Amino acid sequence: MIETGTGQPGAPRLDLRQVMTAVGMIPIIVLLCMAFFGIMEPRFLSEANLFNLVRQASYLIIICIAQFLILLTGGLDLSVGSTVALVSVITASLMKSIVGPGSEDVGLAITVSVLAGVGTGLAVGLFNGIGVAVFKVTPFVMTLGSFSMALGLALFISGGYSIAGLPNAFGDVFAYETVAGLPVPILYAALIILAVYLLLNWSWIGRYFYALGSNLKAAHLSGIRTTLYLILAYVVSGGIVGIAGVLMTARTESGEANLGGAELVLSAIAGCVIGGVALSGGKGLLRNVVLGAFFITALSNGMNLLRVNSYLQTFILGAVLISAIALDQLRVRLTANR
Amino acid sequence: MNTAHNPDTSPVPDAWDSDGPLVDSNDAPLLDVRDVTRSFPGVIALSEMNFDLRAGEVHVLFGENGAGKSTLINIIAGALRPNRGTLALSGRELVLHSVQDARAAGIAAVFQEFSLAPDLTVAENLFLGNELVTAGAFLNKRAMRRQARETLAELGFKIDIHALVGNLARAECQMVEIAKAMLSRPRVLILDEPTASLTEAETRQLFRLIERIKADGVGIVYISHRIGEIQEIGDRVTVMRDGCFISTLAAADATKRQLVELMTGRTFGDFYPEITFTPGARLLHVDKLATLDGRVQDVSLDVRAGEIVGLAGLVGCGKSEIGRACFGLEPLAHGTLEFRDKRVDRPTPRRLLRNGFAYVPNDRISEGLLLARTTRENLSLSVLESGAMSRHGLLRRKRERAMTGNLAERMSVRPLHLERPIEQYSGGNMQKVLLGRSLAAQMHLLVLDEPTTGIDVNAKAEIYRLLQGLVAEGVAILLISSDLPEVLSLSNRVYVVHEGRIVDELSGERRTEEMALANFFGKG
Repeated sequence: MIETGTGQPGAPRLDLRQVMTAVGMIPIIVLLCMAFFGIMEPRFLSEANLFNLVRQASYLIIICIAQFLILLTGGLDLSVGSTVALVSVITASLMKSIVGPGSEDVGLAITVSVLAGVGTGLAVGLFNGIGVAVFKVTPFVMTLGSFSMALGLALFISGGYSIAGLPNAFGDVFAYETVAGLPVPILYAALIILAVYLLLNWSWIGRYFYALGSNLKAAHLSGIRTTLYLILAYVVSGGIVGIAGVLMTARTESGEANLGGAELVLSAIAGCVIGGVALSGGKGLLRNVVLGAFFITALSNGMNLLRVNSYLQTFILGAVLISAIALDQLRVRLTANR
Repeated sequence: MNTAHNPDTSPVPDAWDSDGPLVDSNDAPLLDVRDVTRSFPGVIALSEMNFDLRAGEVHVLFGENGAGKSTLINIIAGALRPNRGTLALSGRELVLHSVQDARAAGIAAVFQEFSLAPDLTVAENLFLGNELVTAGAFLNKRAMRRQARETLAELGFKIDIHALVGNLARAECQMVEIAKAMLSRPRVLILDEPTASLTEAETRQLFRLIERIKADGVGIVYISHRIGEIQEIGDRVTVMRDGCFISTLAAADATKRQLVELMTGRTFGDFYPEITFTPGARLLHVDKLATLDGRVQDVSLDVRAGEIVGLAGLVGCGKSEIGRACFGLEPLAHGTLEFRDKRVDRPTPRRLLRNGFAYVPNDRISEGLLLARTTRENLSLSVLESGAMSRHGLLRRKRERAMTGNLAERMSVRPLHLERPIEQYSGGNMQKVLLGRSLAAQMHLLVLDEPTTGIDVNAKAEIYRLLQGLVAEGVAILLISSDLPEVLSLSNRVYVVHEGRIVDELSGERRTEEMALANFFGKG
């Protein structure tokens, strides 16, 4: 094959197609979306709203990162939404039962219940991971089942009621305080992004996650303990969902079995897919997943400002997901085969 | 150059370009490809290519991987559109928008990658996408079954039309593919390496079939990496290199040497290197090994440091499974395995790799490579956990880049793109990367399963030289290959495998093709 100049890195001429292949669609989509809402509703670009937007986006960013880790291995996690609900209910009910009888140490109660909440996420992840890696249940079926199990358990424990009356300190530390001018949810999201960045780009564990999704047999033949690392991916992802569940509980200041739910699953998958993560596994960039999650949040924030009916918003979210994939396929065809 | 037709806007169903000459000239070749150019981002895959096909001839396309053969046949078959240049069928200009267009115009292709649905029957596959219907909506199953049976009989294939394609052998799938292509009564038939997975007998059968199709006036474009096939089946041969037309010769006049020189663009020395063996310590000792599925039975063999030991036999004789069983990929029924004088009771890839035993599978796509990942990640995959590549749980990425860069150069991967997805490479480069991965750490024993299938002559020669170097360093190699001249020329000793058993060991004077072939079909 003959190399043409544009294929060389650092070619002086800017080739739009090369840029598109390298950068992907998502930064452009985010910019277009911001510009659209900015024009339609100037308040959208106000400092207060943008600040609020980033704070809101933190939660979905965390959930999308959890979904991303599973998609990387060639899986799919439908259970994220109801795991959030289960985490919420367990954290809140435990906290209430410890704090309840004339408690002395609120801090201890919060610590114990938050750890239990994150532990719940880890446990669901372990359950999913063992099902997928050891018993070879397809990720779709496994997480569909655990979706129902976690939701059922959350409803059972809570009896369908919201668990209110949590200590104020809980809401403060995990949702409303600011550190150096930044709301804590943003900081938690930033920490998770940093940790997952290190995991994916600077440790062999992350490299193995990509390898598992790219070619499981090849990974096994290369001496990788595929079962172990597949379980690990689900456990890490579950832990991250656990953290998100705790943060979302702190935001509502109550344990709710209807936190998360099916719409959160849709948003999580949409954020990843719009961020260019391949559903077939082995492909995707953390940076673009974060942008994808931000885009979904910006979309809903912008539509709220434009007073779009909330039922209609659900419709639009689904349509956006489909068009994003369709457009991306078109882009792949145009750049590869013209 | 035909720029009048914008392929994106003109209506699809009309395959014929009405601007072309309307008279069907008898002098015109059946298929005429003129000045066709096709580029992909960053590469020109085909540059001003010329090619013509006459009715009733087999025209072989010959060239290395990446020479542009696949691009050319994809254009002829309607799967790709040329950027410039024209196609003409019997003198009439042809603009193809899709594979269906090409088929309607009388061009059918059988690609290396099968287009069959494994869960459907042979008859269902034959009519897939072209089902016969009655009353506009209902499948006319009876007519399809009858026609399927007739077509297969006509072609001389003994295949049950009710068999599930997933249960067929590769050769049978190949026959179904050809039958499917012939069903549309094509005037041009494209065969992409049809013998790559066939046994000798099946190849004979295919060649007889080609003769028959030829006699009916069909023009056949035939791609092959096997130089011996050119004279055997070809009428003319067109050599391609680097996306360009090099030469078209009458197959009968072309010598092997001439063809290889045209293909590689340089004069060619001895194809198989002279390897000096100094067998040392016994590294691998297999005693009465058998797998649970019975495809390996009571196999005993030894491999020593500093020698290449070959496993020869027909496709499907179980030689592949012997390698897989040693590497812990097949459940064992009984037998023992000793590596470096230590008994390995439960072999797993991880345990063996850590002790210096590497295995390179025969299917680089499905078992070897991470296609979507970069060359660098593919090369370093099996050594990431070692102290050289990781410290305190963090990867030493600078070292990784340096190590994989050196490794790729040692494997002569060209052009060297460490950070591009491996799927953009040709088969030869992919194979080199796969081999390179197993050499990223110091290895004592390499088991190579069909290390040169589907790669070009140049890449083969480079891999042979690499093996020569490894043997000189004292590495032991178990070479499993269906390419008989290859395994005989490169090995110190050759075990002949038949129906899962080792039936003979050839060394010294007995290491000849005759001796090997005599044992291919069992003793006696």
